[in-house]
Amino acid sequence: MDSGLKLRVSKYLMGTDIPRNGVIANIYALDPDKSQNSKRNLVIPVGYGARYETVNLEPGNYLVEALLPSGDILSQEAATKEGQFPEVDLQGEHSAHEWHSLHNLLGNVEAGDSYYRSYDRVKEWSSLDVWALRNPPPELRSGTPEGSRAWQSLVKWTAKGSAQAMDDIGPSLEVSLPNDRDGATQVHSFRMGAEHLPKEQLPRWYALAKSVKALQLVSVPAPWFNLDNSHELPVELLVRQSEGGDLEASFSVPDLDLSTALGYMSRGALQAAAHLVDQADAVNMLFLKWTNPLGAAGGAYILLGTQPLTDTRPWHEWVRNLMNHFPWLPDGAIQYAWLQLRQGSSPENRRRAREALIKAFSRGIPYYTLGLQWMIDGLTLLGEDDKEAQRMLRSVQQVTWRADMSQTFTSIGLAR
Amino acid sequence: MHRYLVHQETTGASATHALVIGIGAYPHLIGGSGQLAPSNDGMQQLSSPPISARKFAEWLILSYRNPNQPLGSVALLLSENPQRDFTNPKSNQQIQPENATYDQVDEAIGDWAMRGGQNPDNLLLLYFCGHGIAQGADMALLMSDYGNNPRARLEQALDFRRFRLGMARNLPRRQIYFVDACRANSDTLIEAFGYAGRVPIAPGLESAAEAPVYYATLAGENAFGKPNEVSVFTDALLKGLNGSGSDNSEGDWRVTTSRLKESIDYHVRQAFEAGAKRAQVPPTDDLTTFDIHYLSGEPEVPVFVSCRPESENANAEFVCKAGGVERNRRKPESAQWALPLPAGSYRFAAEFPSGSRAPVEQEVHVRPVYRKVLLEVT
Repeated sequence: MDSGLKLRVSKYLMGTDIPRNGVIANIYALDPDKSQNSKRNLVIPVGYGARYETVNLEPGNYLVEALLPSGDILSQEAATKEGQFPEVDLQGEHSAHEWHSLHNLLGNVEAGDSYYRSYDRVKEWSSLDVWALRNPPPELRSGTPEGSRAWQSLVKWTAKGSAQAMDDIGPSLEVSLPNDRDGATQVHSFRMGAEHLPKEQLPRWYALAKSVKALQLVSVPAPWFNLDNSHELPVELLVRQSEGGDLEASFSVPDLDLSTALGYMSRGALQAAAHLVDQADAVNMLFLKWTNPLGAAGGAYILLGTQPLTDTRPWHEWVRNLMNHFPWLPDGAIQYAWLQLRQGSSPENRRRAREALIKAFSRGIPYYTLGLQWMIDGLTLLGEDDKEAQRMLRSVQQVTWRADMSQTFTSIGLAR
Repeated sequence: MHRYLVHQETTGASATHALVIGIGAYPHLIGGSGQLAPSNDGMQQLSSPPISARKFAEWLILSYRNPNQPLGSVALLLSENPQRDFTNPKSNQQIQPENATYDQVDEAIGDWAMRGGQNPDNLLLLYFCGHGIAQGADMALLMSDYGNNPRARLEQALDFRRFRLGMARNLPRRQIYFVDACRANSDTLIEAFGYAGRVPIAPGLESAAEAPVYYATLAGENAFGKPNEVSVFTDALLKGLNGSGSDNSEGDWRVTTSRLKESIDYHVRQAFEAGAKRAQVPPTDDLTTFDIHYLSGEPEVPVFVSCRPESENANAEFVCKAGGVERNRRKPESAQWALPLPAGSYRFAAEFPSGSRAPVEQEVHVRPVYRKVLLEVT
């Protein structure tokens, strides 16, 4: 077959094009009796400079559709003839600022017109401050003896409000200057410089955002390592305040394999995320190379959320390794517990799940919001007779009440 | 027919059993007929949920088609003021739906779960439209008698998280939940120390069922849209089921769980883009892919027609033709033209009665999820 289409989503991403593992696309054959030529769940690149994905197709007329992590759907008709590969640029929405662009693709902020409609309603935006916690208080450091006190401290801060939290965390705070800002939004970049550190003992960072009304503690998904060359990538935080001062804190990671997959994941489209990680064999690589434990945890959430768990797969063992090799990462233990509970209610499954959940609890709050959900559900399934599980459940639940469940990475309101 | 059922059919081995709950009348919330609950959180009477629930039940009875799990039963509980009959659109039988008090919902859930559990290959559908309060992962669905006991305010609420966890460890292996509740953040759940209501089903010993949950993603009153109309979420759900959420990858048009999500996301996003506030909650939980509904004909696709530039809409008369025959026409208006069309090929035209511009036309193929037609005016 010497014909087809060259596809991409055309969207300016400030040089962070996603050439390899972009967004999900479908191609529908429009000619009568040619529906067998349709292709579904393809992956096409995103960006202005991004390459095109070449798809071989029989000559004919097609409708191309791209499903973006934001929930937006782009479509365009195209035709190809023998010997031709015409370029199809599906036009992404324009964001309000260039520095919103990746977050707009991921669904963290609306596109230009819609954003300005709400932005312009406010004459003068209130102050919005962001600090980094690069050396957090001991109880917020995962995998340390004090780490299990994270829940206790967070329960105290969420109950007593911002003054108590600021008193306790204050000495650790360092002002973070935004890379870009307007009245309602700011972006901040975080990079640990952790290439030289052993993967088994990595530090943990947080960020704290404050508006006139809200104080939000967010877990920074760092260090995030590039799978290709093991270099650490900067992760970007978008902080947004509403007209009333509520806060949202969303991260994007410039990961060629997982960036958009995590966007799909945050809005519950785990199947789309799974197509992306399957496409590049990304999860296998993450597990095999152990280059990027945080990315491997993201991939594990996607697999556990989409694949049948009743039979045994090789990656089930990798989930256990994620729990055992990285004591600073609560998510691995949560995922192992969830895997056991999903596989059935045998005493052995329950015992393994229970041990893993206790381990996860002692490591502190998970990096991923989905970890909070699975922790609560897992501890609930251990039953009301299990007093230790019930005690942990109460703490996790109290923290989760203040969590923003729509975010990929854990974000907890300490005052409202 | 069993209590709570408004429709029942004889099926083969496996079947779909639906439970539909719509609550607009809350006697103990603001504007209600009973004593006002101290824990009312500012919540008021709602007009949309009974309308939305009726529409969904009618759709199931008239349109639902699934050869693997044909419709076996529809149970319906409605709370509205005044209570009105439900007319089964297939049998024309007039039925007075039971009020959705907690005790009655509890009993209806028990019956529904028992019907579903009789065959592991059954499919269970639950639809709830009414008030909800949420805090993090916890969510309480409020039944009509919510607040009638000030000493135990969540006794008339369903703890949805624990309920779903319990159901998912019981048969059948496939269950779908549609939760069209405003999900207002409320300190009521915090003050109740984690108690989010009663749980009518305990976890069984089964491995986890496929049990996707679709939540309305808009917060507060925005979730319901305009008074006395179908809610934003239910409207999106019905559009999805009528075809916007379908695909013909197997030859015939089917609505799958994941395609339905793409469709609902798109349609609800339109409401969000219009300025509604998004709730801080995940819009879908546990989304695995399986078939829900098989269409009997071509899917109905939302189509949006506009001139480019959009300002020319006010001067343009839009025409839609199929097979050379005029099918629809719209007089000049500033807004884009929104119309539902069966999937297929159409010719759209913008004509300018004043002669200010040359007419333009374009051949367009329409298929789900939606189609935007931009007519370039020169």
